Amino acid sequence: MDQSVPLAAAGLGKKYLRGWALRDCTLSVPAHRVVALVGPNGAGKSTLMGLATGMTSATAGSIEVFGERPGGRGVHPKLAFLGQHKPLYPQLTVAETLHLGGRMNPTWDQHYARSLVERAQVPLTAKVGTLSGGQRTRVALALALGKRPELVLLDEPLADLDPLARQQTLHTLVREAEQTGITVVLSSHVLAELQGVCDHLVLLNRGSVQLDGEVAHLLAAHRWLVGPPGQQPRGPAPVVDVQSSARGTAALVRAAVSQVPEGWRASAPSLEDVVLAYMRSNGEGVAA
Amino acid sequence: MIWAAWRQQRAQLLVMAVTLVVGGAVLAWLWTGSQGVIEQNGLGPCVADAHQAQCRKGVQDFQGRYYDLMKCAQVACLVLPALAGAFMGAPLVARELEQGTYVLAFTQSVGRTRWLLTKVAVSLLPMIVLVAALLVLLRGWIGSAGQLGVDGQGAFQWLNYDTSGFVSVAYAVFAVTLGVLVGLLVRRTVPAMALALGLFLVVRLVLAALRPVLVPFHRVTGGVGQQLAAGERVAGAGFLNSAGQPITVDSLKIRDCTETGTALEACYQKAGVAGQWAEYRVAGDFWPLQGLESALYLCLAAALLAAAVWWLRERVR
Repeated sequence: MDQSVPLAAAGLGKKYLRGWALRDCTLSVPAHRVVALVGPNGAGKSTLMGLATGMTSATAGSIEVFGERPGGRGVHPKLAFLGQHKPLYPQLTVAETLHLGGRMNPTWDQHYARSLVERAQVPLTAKVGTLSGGQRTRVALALALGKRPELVLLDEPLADLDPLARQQTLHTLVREAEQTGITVVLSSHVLAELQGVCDHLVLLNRGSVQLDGEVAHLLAAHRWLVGPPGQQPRGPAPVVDVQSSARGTAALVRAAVSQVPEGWRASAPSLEDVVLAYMRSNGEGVAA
Repeated sequence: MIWAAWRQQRAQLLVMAVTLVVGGAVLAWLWTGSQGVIEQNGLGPCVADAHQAQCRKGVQDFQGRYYDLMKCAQVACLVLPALAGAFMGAPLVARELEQGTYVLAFTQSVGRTRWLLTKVAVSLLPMIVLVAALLVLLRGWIGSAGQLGVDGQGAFQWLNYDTSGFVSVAYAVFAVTLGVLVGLLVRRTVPAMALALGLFLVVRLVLAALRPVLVPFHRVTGGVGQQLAAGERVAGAGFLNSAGQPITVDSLKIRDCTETGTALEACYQKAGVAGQWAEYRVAGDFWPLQGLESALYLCLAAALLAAAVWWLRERVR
C-alpha cells in the first residue's frame, strides 16, 4: 500500500460487547498536517488511535500506518503515540524515562528529547510520580517526539491540564510540527483551542466519520444565516442545523457566499460553530 | 529493553542480592560452626554412622545445637520458590496492567513477545542463581554433618528431598512463570500475588503426591513373621490375604498373636492374613526422581510462559 500516507483507514470497524465503537470508517490523513480528531465522548476517537497503534484489533476493514498494518511487534518506527492517561513509570526519574525511550526505540534523538524537557523546565532528576500534570504531559510528549517520528498520535493531550499548561503544550506541539514537518493527529473535545492550530479536521460521531477535510475548505464552505424567528432558510443551500429562539433563527448551511435568502444575514462561522452544528444535527456524513 | 526491565525490577533484584549475601553468610557461619563442633568433640567417625555406642553422647549434644537450625534452614530454602512466584512473578506484568504503563511499553518499537521474555529473563536468571547458590551451601552444610544431622532421616524424607538436588530450582522457575501468567490474567498486583502463592502450593502438593507415578516404589511381599527387606525409606506396608490381595486387618484380631514360627502363621491365618507387603524407595531412585520431577516442572513452566506470550499478544488490548 501507499507508504507515503501516514494514516489510512478503509471500512474500519471495531465492535465491543456493548456495540460498535467505530463503524465503516474510511479516511486518509495527509502528510505534514496538524489534524484535529474531534467528536463527542464515545465517538470512537480513542478506538481509532488504539487501532492505529495496534493496541486494539479491528473487527472489520483495515487500517494502515505508512502502508503497514499495526501488529504485535510494537508500533511502526515512524509512529509515536501518547495515550490519554499519559502512562509513564512513576518510580523512574525524568532522565531515566528518556533513557528508556532510547532503549526501546531504534531511532532516538536524546539531545532533542532532553531539550524538550529542559525547555519545559522539568527537572531531569525528579521522579515522574512527583511531577505536576503539566510537567508529566511535557515529559510524555518528549518521550513521544524523541524517537523523531513522522506521525504523532495524541489522545486528549490537553485533558486534565490547567489553561496555561494547555496553551504551552499546544504551542510546543505546533512549533515542533512546523519545524520538523511531522504529521500530528490530536484528539480533543475542546474545539476552541484547536482553531488556528490545526489545518485538517476529522469529526467522528457515533463511530463514523461525519466530516473530513481541510479546515480552510470547511470554513469556506459553510455560512451562518441569521433570520426572523419561526422560519427556515429557503433556498438551494443544504441546512446542516437550525436553532430557533424567540429572537430569531440561526442556521448553518453549506453554501457559497452569494446564496443568501431574502431577509437573512450571512456571516462566517468559526470552526467550533461548524463542528457543533454537525454534532447536533447527527446528519449524514458530508465531505467538504 | 534489558535496561528497562532491570530498572523496573531494581528493588526486587536488590532484595534478592541482599538475601543471597545474608543467607549465604548465615549458612557459611552455621557450616563452619557445626564443623568446629564435630572436630572438637571428635565426632568425625559418627558422621557416617551415628548409631555407634561411642557417639551417643556427642550426637545428642550436636543435635541439640544444630538439628532444629538445619530444619529451619531447610524450610527457609523450601519457601524461596513460593516467594519468588508471589513477589517476583506475579507483579511483573500485573503492575504494568494495573498502572496502565503497558500502553507506554507497547507503543514503543519493542514487540510484546520480546518485552515479556526480557522481563521474565531479567527476574528469572538472578532467581535461579540465588536459589541454586543457597541450596549448594545448605547441602554442603547438612552433608558435612551426615548422619549426625537431618540426613539421618534419609534422602527421601520430604524436607531433605525437596531441598536437595535440583528440584528446588525447577520449582522456582515454575513459580515465577505461574506468577507471570496469573498476573497477566488477574491484572491486579495484590490479588495476583495471593492467587499465585495459593496455586503454587496446590500444584506442589498434588505433584508431590504423584511422585510414585514418575518413579514407582519398589515392592516386596513375604510371609507373616518374615523380616521384609526395606530400602532407604519405607513408603507403606500392610497385610495380604491368601489370594495375595492387600487387605486391611482389624488390629484387635491380631493383637494376641505373639507366638513365633508356624504358630504365629496359624494365629494370623485365623484373622485372614496370609502374608505381608512393603513398598519402599532405594538410594538409586533419588536422581531419576529428581530428574523426572524437575523436567515436569520445567515443561509446565515452558507451557505457562507460552500461554502468557499468547495471551499478551492476542488478548491484552
